[in-house]
Amino acid sequence: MGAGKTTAIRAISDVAPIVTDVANHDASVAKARTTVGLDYGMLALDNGDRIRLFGTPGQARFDFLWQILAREALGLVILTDNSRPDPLADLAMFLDGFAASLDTLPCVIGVGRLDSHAHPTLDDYADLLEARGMVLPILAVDVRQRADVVLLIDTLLGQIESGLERN
Amino acid sequence: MLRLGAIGLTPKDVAYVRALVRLFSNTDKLTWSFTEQLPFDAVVTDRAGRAADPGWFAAFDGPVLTLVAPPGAPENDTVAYPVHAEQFRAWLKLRHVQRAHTPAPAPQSSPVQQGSPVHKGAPVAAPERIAPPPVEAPVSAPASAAVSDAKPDAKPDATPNASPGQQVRPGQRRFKLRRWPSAAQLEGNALHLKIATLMVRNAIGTELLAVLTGHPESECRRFVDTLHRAGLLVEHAAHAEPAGLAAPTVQATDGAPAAPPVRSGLLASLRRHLGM
Repeated sequence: MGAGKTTAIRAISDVAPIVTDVANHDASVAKARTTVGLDYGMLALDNGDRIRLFGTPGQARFDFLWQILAREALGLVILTDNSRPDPLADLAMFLDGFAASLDTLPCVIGVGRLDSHAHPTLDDYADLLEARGMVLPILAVDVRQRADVVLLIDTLLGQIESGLERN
Repeated sequence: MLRLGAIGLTPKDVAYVRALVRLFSNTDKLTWSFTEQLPFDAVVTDRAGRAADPGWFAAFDGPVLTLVAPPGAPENDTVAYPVHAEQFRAWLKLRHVQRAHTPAPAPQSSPVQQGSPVHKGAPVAAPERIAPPPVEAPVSAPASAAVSDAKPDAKPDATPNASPGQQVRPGQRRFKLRRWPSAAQLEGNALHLKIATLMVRNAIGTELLAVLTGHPESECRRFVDTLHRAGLLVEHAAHAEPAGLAAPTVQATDGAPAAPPVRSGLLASLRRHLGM
């Protein structure tokens, strides 16, 4: 929550994102509004294909949505907010929630607000993944920067390109 | 300019190959040109073409891409019918990169009449001076991956699952990340990030890394060596690269639910769209 899903989608979507933000009443998160449904954006490609971008609520009570979206997804971007009280616990929650899909679903972790909140470090995130026997790209991002969001997508495409069938 | 020829293909396939070479040489800045006249740096053929004149192919010392009909297990230097443009493109890029890093071969003698069209059922004569057969012996892919900590630039036969008598080029040795590198190791370098990303889910060799990144294999190997020295890699069983150059797909492994297949054309289109 507060990691910038809506902002990330807005950065690259061809259409104005459809957002379902409402007033935030969670005092632990310093933001006025938060997503309670799905954020939606879309990329219309030159070959006629359309890539749909879904931002799911970060709260664990919405994890039923995660399974539905992961089923047909090309890739998954997990955005964490390093200013949150326990970002590693947030990541662990997402890893648990998407555990059934992560064996096959390309995934990248974007860590936000690392410049103002240096801990946990990217190495700490890598430690957490290693302890779970997982290897995923971990990038420091500012989702207000389109280039950072594009880099996240590029990292997903790289995983697809390397040919998942080879393992 | 590298010269690609076709031996024993139907006129339809010759036209298709010619068009693809022209397309990819332009879009990928590859120095391939399609020609019907010797000498060839590489040739495309099919099963019938090879069978019609095995002597010529045994004598030819360049890469040979064989178009094969499904079903059939992937093999070195093969692309299955129907010919997928991305597979053909990957083969051109692989051979382009390899050729850029190997000395030029001796001039070929003339096994084909100058200007003669190449078509199915018209095998060519063997060259008078025969070069030794290619040393790139194919390597079988074992059913299960082996893991070791062998150094990437160690002798190829140190690879644990290489079949006896078969040679694995260093660039075909496959490594996979065991842990995501630190920011210091990535050095904010786009190539390093790309290589690490490509090694997240798959064991991959520097030959294929060079193809997928568009950078020289030597650059890729340098970073792979760095990752290895940091203890971040595990080696998997040797695997011939071209078999892995099939169009990327997402498939189920070990009973996991299958993700939908992904068309490589879709990825290219998405990259263009985002200005990558």
